[in-house]
Amino acid sequence: MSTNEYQRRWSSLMEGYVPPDELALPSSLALHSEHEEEIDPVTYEVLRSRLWSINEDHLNTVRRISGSGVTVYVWDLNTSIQTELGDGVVFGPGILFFAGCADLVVKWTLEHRSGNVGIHEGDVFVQDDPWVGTNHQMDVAVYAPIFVDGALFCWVYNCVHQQELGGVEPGGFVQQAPDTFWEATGFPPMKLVEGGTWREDLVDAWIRRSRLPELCHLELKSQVSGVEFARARIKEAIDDYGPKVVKGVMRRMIDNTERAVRRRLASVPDGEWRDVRYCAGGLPDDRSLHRLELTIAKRDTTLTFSNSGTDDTYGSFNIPVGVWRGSVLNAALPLLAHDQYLCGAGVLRCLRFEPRLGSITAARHPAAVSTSLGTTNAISQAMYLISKMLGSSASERRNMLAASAHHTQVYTQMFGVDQGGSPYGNFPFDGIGGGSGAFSFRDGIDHGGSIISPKLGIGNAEEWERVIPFLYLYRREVLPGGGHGRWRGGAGIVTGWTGHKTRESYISSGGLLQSVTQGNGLSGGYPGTGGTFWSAAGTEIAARLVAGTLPATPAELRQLAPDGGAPPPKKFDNPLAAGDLFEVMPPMGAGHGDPLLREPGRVADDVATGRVSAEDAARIYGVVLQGEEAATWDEDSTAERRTAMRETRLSGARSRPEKPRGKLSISSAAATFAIENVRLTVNGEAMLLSCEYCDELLGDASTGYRAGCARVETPLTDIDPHIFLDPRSQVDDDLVLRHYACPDCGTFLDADICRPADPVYDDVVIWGLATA
Amino acid sequence: MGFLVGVDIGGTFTDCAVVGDAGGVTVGKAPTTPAEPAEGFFSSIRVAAELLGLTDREMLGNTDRLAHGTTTGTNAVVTRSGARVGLLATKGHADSIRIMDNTGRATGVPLEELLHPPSSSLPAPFVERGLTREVTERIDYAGDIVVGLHEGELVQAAADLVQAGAEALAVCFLWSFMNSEHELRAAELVSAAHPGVHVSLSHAVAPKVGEYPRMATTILNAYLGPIMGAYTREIESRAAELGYRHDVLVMHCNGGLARGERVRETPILTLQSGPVAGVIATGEFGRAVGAPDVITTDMGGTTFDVSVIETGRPLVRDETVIEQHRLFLNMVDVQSLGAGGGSIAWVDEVTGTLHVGPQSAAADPGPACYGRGGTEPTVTDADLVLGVLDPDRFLGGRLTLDRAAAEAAIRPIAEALGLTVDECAAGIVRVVDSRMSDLIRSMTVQRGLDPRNFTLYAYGGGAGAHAGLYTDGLGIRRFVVPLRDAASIWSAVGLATADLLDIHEQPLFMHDPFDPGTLTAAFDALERQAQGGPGETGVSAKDVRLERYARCKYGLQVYEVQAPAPDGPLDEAGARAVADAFEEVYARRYGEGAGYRQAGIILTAIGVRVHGPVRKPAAAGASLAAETPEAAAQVGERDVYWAELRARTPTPVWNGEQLAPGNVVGGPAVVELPDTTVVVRPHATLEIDAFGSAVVTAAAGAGVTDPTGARG
Repeated sequence: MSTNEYQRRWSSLMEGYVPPDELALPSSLALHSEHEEEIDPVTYEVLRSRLWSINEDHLNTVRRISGSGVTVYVWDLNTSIQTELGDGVVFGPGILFFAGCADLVVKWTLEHRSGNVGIHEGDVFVQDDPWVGTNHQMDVAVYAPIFVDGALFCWVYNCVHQQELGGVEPGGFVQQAPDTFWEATGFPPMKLVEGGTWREDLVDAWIRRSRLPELCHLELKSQVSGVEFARARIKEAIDDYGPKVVKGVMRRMIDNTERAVRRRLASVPDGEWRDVRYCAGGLPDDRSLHRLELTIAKRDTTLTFSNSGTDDTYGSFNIPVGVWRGSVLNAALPLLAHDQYLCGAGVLRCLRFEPRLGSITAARHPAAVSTSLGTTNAISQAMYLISKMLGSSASERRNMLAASAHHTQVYTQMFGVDQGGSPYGNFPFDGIGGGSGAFSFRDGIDHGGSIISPKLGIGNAEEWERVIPFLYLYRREVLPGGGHGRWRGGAGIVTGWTGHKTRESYISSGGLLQSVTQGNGLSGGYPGTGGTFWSAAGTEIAARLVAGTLPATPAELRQLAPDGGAPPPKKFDNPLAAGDLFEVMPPMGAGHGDPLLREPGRVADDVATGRVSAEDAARIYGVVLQGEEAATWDEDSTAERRTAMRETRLSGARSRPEKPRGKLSISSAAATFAIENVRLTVNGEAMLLSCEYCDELLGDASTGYRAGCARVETPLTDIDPHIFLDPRSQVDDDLVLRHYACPDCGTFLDADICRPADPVYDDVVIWGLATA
Repeated sequence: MGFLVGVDIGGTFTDCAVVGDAGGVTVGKAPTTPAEPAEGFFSSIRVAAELLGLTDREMLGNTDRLAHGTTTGTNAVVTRSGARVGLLATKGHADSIRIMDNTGRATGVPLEELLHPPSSSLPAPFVERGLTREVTERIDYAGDIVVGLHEGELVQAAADLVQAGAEALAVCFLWSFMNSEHELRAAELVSAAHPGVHVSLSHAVAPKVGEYPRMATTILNAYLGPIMGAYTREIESRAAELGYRHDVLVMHCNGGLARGERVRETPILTLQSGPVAGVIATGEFGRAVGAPDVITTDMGGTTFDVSVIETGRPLVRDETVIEQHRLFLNMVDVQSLGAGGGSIAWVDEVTGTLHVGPQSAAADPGPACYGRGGTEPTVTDADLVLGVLDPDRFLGGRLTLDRAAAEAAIRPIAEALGLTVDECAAGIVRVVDSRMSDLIRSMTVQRGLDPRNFTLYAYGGGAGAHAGLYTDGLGIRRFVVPLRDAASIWSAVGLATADLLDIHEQPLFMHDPFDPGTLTAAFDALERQAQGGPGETGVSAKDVRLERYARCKYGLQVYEVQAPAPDGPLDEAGARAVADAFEEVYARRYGEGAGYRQAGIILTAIGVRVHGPVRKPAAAGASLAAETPEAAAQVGERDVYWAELRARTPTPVWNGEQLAPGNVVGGPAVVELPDTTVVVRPHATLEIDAFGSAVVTAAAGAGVTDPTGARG
């Protein structure tokens, strides 16, 4: 190919690949693009279901063969079927951000490998270069073209988190990496299997960098078996229906998904929604906050995402632009297209991206990208902001989802010498074991799982004890952990470990700094904690066990090791041999809506079941309970208390409008909104914003509603000092939960987590009413 | 020799099949009595005995085997009417049953819920929050005791639970399947303190790694303990009063039969035993007629069940999901799809696509054509509109269908799709049938099996009408519909004649090359344990065969594959044969070279399958009549819409009860029976075989290429 291709190739490897609208392909590559335009609805549904089934069987085939707990127990993988040009037709119910990377990988391969080394029948490619399109080097794509009559018809693809691919830290999450050269080397697409024959030289090259080369080899085999399986099944479908019909159905699936997403977006007014938040934990000793900014501009039925305002790349928690795009798609799939069977390409047609290159979420090479932290940040933020935007649509509110398990990523990577005396590297997934965030009409689901996959599990204690030299002292439910609100976040867990039958073993206290939670609540709901770590080294635990006692609650561990405490927030080698203790309480689901709007009866139930303490029932929910057992509540006292609390909010507000604007005097036939709690009413040229609960005027489209609100600020630790860490213990700033309250009725309408002195920003600017 | 008697309790009728000395089958039917299932049980026996000119006492006194398939356990789960269970768990781990590995929301739910968190929920638990207690004890992965059992705590915890209302106790300690000492001691202490309280031990119920599924399985076992204990004792004592002198055998979900005592220990094994009995019966029949590779399909109102029988043996899986709980249960692999006659068709207004299910009109209100208030179009409505069903002869005329209502229900979606009502009805049928094809394909192809090499049996009210299409999608050219009561009594016959089967398994960890001495000793010990089994079961000890198997995997892998192991003392070649058999099975399932041979082979468990063959009813069929049916067998003609012809065409309708073995009916045709309708599509023919079943064969290359007839 020309120098031009070479330049584009290397530019993409340095800046991050973003496919052009028209791929530059050599004429030597024949594409099978013929398709039936007229597909009857029955054939459509028959084939759609069959493609789903093939893709799901592909996923199960990989899991059945693999040796990795990450793949088998945790479902950290996904599979897809993609058109000849790489557009994702169907993804499996595994990790969703892989969907937003799969098309990049295939498109890059088409653009840069179809000349040299060529793309042919029987080939299988492999790649793990983050700048081509993978979350981090451990997420390995294996994918194969399918040809019909010599023309490239489609692709089958899988991506699996391989357990060990080298880099300075076992497991590959290099938290201290100042740049990517500390990390496992990411390989751009290579032809692993050529015309049906494995390239042993490349296999050796691939697994050579791993500390666990045998496991790595098995993982490659499982992935290749997977695509071979899927390739054979797709060919059968093509034989049964003919290539034009199969391709026609693929195109129609993308068209239909696009149509469904646009239909949803038509119910949202035109405007711009913005989120500004801080995260921390770019490097082990870093005590600074880093700004993440995301804007969604919604025009007609297209969303344009911009990360402008996000800080420059820093330390180890960056992602290339393609991964940011994948993260946004991860958030959009369940929120905008849950009924479209995970057809990524159809959703992507409705999304535009305006990245600021060189920022944390659009990093240039050689920024460090292995920690996956940027990915979960980007997903948390996109899920939050899309949900907030959907609050403006009365019909789409039902799909809102507050921050769920895993929003503030923590990990607990382990390595050392295992029970058999061999080196090991592995990680249990307790760090993601939280509840789902609250919905707009019900509480979040206890242990409802993660934002990144419908299927993600955490495995059994026994399964992990078999391969990691430790004991689970406990894995307990934490009932009172979910974020408060009109609807509560789901319950999470807390896990305690001690080393067992090992002379040397370590655990990382990894991830984002937990005091800077990414678990923002929606519509004025409270955040979910970012979790906590606790550790103690060289304790008497072994002697206690021998003596026949079993410390197995958080309180008992603290009693056993009063000197224990929070480990350094990002340390890869905390000891976890016999005598050492380590506890993780992962992030928890966020709440939705003002807690004062929660039905008192539900709060009484929460107290009875241990989900809310009696103190918090009064302090946060304003519910006055009767009697010791707390199963009942007093109606009058509760009403009085809630009124008083609203007044206290306003009188103690950090700022409030000088004089009330009064009530909205006109009524509008259509229920339209800027965000869920802020009503939007057209009055001549003006678009007025008012409180959903008392009609108090808050402003208009030009001023926004926040200027018309009272600002009520609460230090995060005041929510619950046991589960919210003091930010000052980890960073050089204070953080508050800033509620925007109606200046008349005192209802919390929305909230940010920010520094006390941060200026107010407009989270929504409305340009025009919804078209549908 | 005496009689072999099988009793199957179905939703409406309880069937009793009696196999006589010469192999003849007699069937007695009695209404099922849900509140007191034993009543229907013994009524059906009485009816069968009368048909033989005997009293029930005379018949049972001369019976070698009384076997039973029961839905009592399944019903208790579905209606949540089992015992209040108390859980005793290792300190630190009682919450596992609520945490569910974080997968409770997503396990075993329809795709639509899986992909949409707001639509999904956790299942209701089988143990109340207040009825769990933790006990100090700890064993590690190797079975070594880290902390001894604190007996005082255990006794106190059990007393608390019983005091709090627990009617049965489940004990699940970590790693108990590697060292059962603590669980066994717990059982001793609990039973001494609370005699009569059912106790389930996790290492006995589900000896596998993974505390959450093991705990869930143990809890569900305890949940069923009291009910199944009382029920089997009642059956046993009443059978004994009537002079039956042997063990009453109960069908297990693993496809075997076992004595009451085993059922009382592990009642969870009776879950799904009714459907499993049908699968076993089909396998037996297939083997008898020389067609041992069978796919069974059963289409009812709300679900479509599939199982696969390879060389006469049903495929068994070692995990299942019940009510969103993941369970360790060796179970004949019957997979279900939420699709049946009641599945509702709908159009996504935005994309203009046709969907069928997952919502179902079920029995109430039922399809629009039932006239019970249902207005949404269902698969049964589509069948009626197409002319496949006769409005006046549905269910033998027990229910008159409203064709106009069915049409009215389908018309709006037909219009939305730009199809005629006929085309739309054909499309609804095609969509639901192709999902059934997908399930069958998934179950066979993923195991390295080619569905075209199997004989497909179609059971249930809807299968005869739909099998022509769902086999077409798989390249299966022939299906069999058991006729004339055969379908409904199949399970009872299967019970009467199913071989004795039990499975004993034990964890064992070895690297290839396996040590022949250790392997032989372990198999011998397991066989001694297994041979304690047969007893008075209608199988003589000399007939009992023990089949060995091993669970193996390639080094580093997680999932095992089960492969046969040689009998007798193993030498090095014998041990080698275990590894070779594993590799052969593995390659067949996943393809050559898929495993990582270089990492070696690991054996993780051995098992012994106890197999006691029972004499079978004569498989000799009737003599064949002429190909041309008696004219009287044709009851009329009606217009039926055939997608492959893109037209309605006058189609002969036959009374299936009047077709004789040997008769051949060419398609298109409809053959009506009291409980089902068999559709013979154009280009297919139906023949009644010597066993009275309808065998429908499609002409080579026929295929329904145009699913609605709307194209072209």
